[in-house]
Amino acid sequence: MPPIAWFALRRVGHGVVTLWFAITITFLLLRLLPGDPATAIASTNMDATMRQELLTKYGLTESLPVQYVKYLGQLVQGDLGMSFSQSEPVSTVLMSRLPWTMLLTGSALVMTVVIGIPLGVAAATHAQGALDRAVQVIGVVGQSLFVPSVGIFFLYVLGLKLQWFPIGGAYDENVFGAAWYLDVARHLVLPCLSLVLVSLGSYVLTLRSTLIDSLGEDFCVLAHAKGTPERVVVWKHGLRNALLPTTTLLGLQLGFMVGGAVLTETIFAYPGVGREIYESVIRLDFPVLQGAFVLLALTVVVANMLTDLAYGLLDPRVRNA
Amino acid sequence: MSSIVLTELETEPVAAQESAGGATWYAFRTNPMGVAALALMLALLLVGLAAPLLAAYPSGFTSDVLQPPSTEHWFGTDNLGRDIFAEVVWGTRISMTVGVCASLLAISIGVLIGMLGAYFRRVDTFLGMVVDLSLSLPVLPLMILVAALAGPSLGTIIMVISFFSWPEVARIVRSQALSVVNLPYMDAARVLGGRHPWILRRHLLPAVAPVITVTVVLTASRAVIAEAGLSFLGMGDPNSWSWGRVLYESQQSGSMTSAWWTTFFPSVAILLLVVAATLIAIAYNDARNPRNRRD
Amino acid sequence: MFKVYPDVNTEILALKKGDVDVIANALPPAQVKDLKGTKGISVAEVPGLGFTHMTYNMKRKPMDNVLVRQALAHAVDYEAIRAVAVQGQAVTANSSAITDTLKEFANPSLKEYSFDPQKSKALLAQAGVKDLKLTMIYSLQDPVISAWSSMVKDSAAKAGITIDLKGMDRNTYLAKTVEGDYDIYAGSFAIMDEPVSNMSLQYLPDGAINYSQVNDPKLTKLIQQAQAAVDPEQQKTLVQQAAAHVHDNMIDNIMYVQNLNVAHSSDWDGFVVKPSELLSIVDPASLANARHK
Repeated sequence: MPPIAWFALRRVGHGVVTLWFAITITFLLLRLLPGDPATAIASTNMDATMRQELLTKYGLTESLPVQYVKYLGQLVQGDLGMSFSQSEPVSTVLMSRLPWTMLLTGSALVMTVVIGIPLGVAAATHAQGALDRAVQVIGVVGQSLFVPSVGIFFLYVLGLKLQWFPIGGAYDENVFGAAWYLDVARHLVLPCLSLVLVSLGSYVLTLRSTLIDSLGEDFCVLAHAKGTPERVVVWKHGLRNALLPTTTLLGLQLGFMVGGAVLTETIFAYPGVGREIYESVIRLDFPVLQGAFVLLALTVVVANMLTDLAYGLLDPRVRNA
Repeated sequence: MSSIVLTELETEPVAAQESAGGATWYAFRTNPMGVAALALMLALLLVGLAAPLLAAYPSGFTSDVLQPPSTEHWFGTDNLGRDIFAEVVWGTRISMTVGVCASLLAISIGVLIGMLGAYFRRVDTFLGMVVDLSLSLPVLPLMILVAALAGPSLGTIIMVISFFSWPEVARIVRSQALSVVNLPYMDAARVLGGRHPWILRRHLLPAVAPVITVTVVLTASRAVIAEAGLSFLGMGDPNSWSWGRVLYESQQSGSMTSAWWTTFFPSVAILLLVVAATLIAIAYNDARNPRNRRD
Repeated sequence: MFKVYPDVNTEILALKKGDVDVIANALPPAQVKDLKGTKGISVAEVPGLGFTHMTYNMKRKPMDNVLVRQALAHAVDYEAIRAVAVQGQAVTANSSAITDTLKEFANPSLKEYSFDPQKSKALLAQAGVKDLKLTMIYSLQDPVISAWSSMVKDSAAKAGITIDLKGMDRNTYLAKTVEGDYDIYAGSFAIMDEPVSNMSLQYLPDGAINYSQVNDPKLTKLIQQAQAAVDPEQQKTLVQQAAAHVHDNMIDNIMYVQNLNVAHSSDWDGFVVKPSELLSIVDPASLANARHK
């Protein structure tokens, strides 16, 4: 088998193990939570027999290993269980919310890259200059901001005072057809902006420093000496190398963002998975929490796998290791 | 052979042999950004240490609820009429303590695992997997979960944050250690019969030390933000004043937009701390890199 | 159309902007003044039908001693709590389990326990209790109680009592309540408009909401008599006697009745205010009556 295939196989195997690990960890953590899960399902006035019935119905009376095996079995079949507090399958609960989180984090990620690359390049090519300093300031300040404060600030200034954007939510009920997409976009702007502001910082700074490093490497100096135009040196040679570690950073950032969206979704009343997780913790809704973590872990694992595979394709040193 | 008496030779003194550390410090010192950041950090540290001298511990209540900043209350008052300036000043203590403790804990674990992974190739695959796995978990939701599990308190917050911060440290330390571990001097140390703990301590640790310095600072600042986030969601310690708590009280009382000062000042405090930490790390990295130094 | 806002700050902004017409949940007390003064927004008051209280776990020493419970009750600054934490939007309950909202059954002779740290100290000394240290549980999802919990702690300190605040998420809080795992419990009831059945649930030994963990034969007898009473006048007397017993023995520290405030756009009126936090102005009858001006 060619080395690239081995590499891909190893990475996929790695991913599967990671996923299993994530599932097990959350399973254990959840079972260790204090408080009786029955209180989440039932009211406090329930008598002992009814409570037992409910516990049995949700499979909470069996021993831990048995519950675990049963759960894994269900997972493999794609069954995420039943929500304690919402009398609905977990998959329904999550699937109605996951797309919004994906939309939010996806667009934030795209914007980060789209804005980040030109900024990083500009900073690196004008290293120590005024533009570079400005970009560094933006980068440093950006990653030091507290998301809820930024969110509320945007809502107040851009939403209430200037009336440019709606206050929270993902869409308006009264809008249909093509106009709905525009409406979704309008609702997306502020939350996305808050996320981008914070993630842009570390992305730009990392890109800038890796680009400066690779531009100083011999191969770039050689390209300069050969008379290659500046633009080609930077974009074709320097950037391609600098992008490698920054792409791994993106994979990591996805993990942070998907989880970190909790704060953004809370402030902007954005109906995503992040906020659902928080509320499930409050309600001790095990199945929803479990399902959400599984989905999130899956997303992050897949994203990391893809970036690693891309890395392997681009960098022969890695796949031949 | 008679020994040469050097004192008789009048020679031009050779430029003092600079140690690597000395050169780094010099480069750092002459970087205005780094110096300013360091000064800011020290100022914040001072505020935290001198808190009792600067303001009375915020407690109780007054009838001046949600008053805007004035000569009497520089930062205004909160939803129970308490002085926000006092809350931010005392919050410096708690927030910085959480940041430093969480960071130190994360560093200790991360450095150990990172070094072990780089040094002992056999455990590396296993440790590497553990680190990768931890990095793939959605951090904030898990922090929320564990904080709810253990109950809201400073100790919990510190443990939770460091538990989820060490993998990042391990990853960085490991890659730095890897670049050093195969160098000739390490082999030499082994050949000389050095025992593993000695080699790790004496040779590997100093090699990764610069990375550790930067990581301590950055992890601490990230810990401060994590604490603010957790407190904001109600997972923080309701008995102590951290910047996150000030923001939490503001959010709970619905004052975030009607009383801008309740969110503004703690947010600025967080901003200053994290910016200072990041700039110090950047300046230190720049100073450490011989390519950047203007010799 | 119902929109769910996880954060009250965003909700208020939405109302101010006009994205929503009504906020169904009760406003945080600190925001009422600001919203009343905002053009285009009307604030309606919903009279409270329940109450907010603290109970002292009588199954634990030294709370089984009436002197200690009374000492604790005298170490709370009720007026300050009502003025600052609830922003004056609450009325005293006269430390009585039957509040003035139920005019018929309320016992007019009952007065609120005074805030008197010195008296607390004296009572504790009388009971032979030194260095009292207790934990208090409350739900972090309740912003008003979370706010005044620190006030209770500080005022108790003046009487030499140390209270360790244990705010917890709602489910853990409910679990601990059911298990009776607390020294002091702080919480509120939304609707308490059935005196006899309320008292049965609260003060009979196996009552579902007996958060005081009380088992007082005299009180039990009074309540059972009230349950059996056929004559309304007799029932009223028995209820008043029971309330007096609860008050004098500090079995339940009823702190105040909170009047809730809800906000809506001034473009609408005709809402029917129902005294319940659960429904406030968005129950069907009220919504059917609402008119756009």
